Amino acid sequence: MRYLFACIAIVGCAAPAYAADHLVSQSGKAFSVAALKAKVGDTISFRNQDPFVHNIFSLSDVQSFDLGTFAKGESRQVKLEKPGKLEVECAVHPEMKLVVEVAK
Amino acid sequence: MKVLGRSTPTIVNAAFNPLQMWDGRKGSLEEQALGPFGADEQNLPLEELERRVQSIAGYGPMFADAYPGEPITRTTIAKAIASFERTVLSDGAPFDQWVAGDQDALSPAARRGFDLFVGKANCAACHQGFNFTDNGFHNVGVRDSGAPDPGRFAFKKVASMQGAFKTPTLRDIALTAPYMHNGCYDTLEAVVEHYVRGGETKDHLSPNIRPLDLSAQEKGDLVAFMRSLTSAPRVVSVPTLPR
Repeated sequence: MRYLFACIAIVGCAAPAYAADHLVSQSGKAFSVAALKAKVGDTISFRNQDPFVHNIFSLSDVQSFDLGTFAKGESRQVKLEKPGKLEVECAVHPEMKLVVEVAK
Repeated sequence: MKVLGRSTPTIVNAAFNPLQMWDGRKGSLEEQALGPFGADEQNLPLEELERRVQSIAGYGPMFADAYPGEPITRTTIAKAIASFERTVLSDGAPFDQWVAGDQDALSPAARRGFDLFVGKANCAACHQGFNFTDNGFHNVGVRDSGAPDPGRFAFKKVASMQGAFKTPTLRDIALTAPYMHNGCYDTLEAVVEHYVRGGETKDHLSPNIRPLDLSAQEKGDLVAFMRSLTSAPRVVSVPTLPR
């Protein structure tokens, strides 16, 4: 009983809020969503479902990242580090755009 | 005469391009139209361009008719050039007739070439849709004769954009040699050989590009297919330029 109580206490202290993973797929040269709301600490998993490569990146002031090129069936993940608005694009296909609103 | 590093991009079906120029630095045909007046090409300052067009009396009523209330400036000159470019269209090629149901419009070689194009040769990874382009940017392993051309990277600082250029349309491709961003190949056969080798350079090469195992007949089939994308000749009246 004492052991169980300790576990509950540790979990209660260590996880004030659970970070979420947002799955965004790429299909037909488009993101599965055009806009996304998330929180600092969340992750976004980008999954390529097209039979050619994508290169997801952001050069936003809030956070910049380059996930490199990845082929069909592969995924790349990015952790959201700061609050603000991120404009995410595909370098290969400039018409692909995703706006992520990151809250604290 | 100065030889530039890039080949002139085709204006065939440029009306459908979301971005213009090999590196996509221009967002519209109007923006693109004024680019070549710069020092490297026509060496005609825009102020001098405006002065020359304004000085030709015959243009006055024509511009007034086309753009009422707008003076002859670089803005209206760009609109006029872009409007002309939007009329340079290619469709109704033998391939289109075949898609529409005319089974005899394509030779057996061209039909086999189309199968290769969308299949084993993987051309359709980039050359997609009615205009045979994904409107995207790829490093396809073309070797530049001098220092490597940074291509799209000059405007998008993403590593894979080093040496990446816009996928050109394949409409009327048999009429628009030389090929690739720097015009390094004179024939479609040489282009096919480039892709069979999987490109000449491997730095930042797109993963879409890989060596191909194609027989001599298959290479010829691909070229036959590309030749089927040539539209019928159009009658174009040469305008009488105003004085």
